Amino acid sequence: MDKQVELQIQAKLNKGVYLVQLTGDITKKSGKQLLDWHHWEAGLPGQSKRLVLDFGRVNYINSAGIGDLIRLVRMGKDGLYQSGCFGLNYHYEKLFHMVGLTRWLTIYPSEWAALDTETEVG
Amino acid sequence: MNIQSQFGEEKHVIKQLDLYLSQGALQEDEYYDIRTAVTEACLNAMEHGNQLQNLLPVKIHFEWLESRLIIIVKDCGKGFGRIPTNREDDRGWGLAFIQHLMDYCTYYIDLTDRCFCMHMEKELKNKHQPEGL
Repeated sequence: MDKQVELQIQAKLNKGVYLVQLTGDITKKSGKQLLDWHHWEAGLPGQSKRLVLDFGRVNYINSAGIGDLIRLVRMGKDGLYQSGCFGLNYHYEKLFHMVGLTRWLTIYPSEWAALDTETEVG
Repeated sequence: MNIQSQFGEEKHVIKQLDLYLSQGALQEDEYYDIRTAVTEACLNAMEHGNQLQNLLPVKIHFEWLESRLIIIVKDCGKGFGRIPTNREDDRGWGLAFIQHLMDYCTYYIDLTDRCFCMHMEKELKNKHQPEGL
């Protein structure tokens, strides 16, 4: 099987929003990679209070990966940060609703909407 | 189709479904539903059925019956008596996805092959099975 890195993670601060671009697959292994990529429980870099995940280059997410996304957004729910996302395929939007992930993760139709709305919220 | 019991092997199944999609046998929403259900069944088979013993195979069988796609995923484990309900918030959604996304799902022990089988069916919108499938 493909031994390449399953998930590439790039992040930047944009308008006070911590924007995390994900490329690849989110599975048990790469979900852990995402959780270990930053000390999320300490808050976001640059004292940002808003996390936006860009799923536009994500092709496959399995149940273990969704479990790790639940953990990621729940770590911010007590005031550390709010979470949003865009670029999500309708199928995964359906799964996110099904597992209750959308209680903590707002789904936006575009990057512009995510950044603009998130900025206004703050 | 056979795959090894190693995380990542389930993606081989996606290639087969990609082929069905490209041939027009599946519509896009059906493709994604089936893709998630089958890969989750494979992950359960690899992890819980075969205990991630690489040499133990997971067998995936596709069968077209008129407008219905039947998929059977077999592993070398003993299965489970009933679908586990002790799901935590952030784990164990695989079986729930399978039940939600497929039209029919059951499981049984195949005494002939001595394996555990997850049997799933999806009624497809395209009533005409493409040639060669």
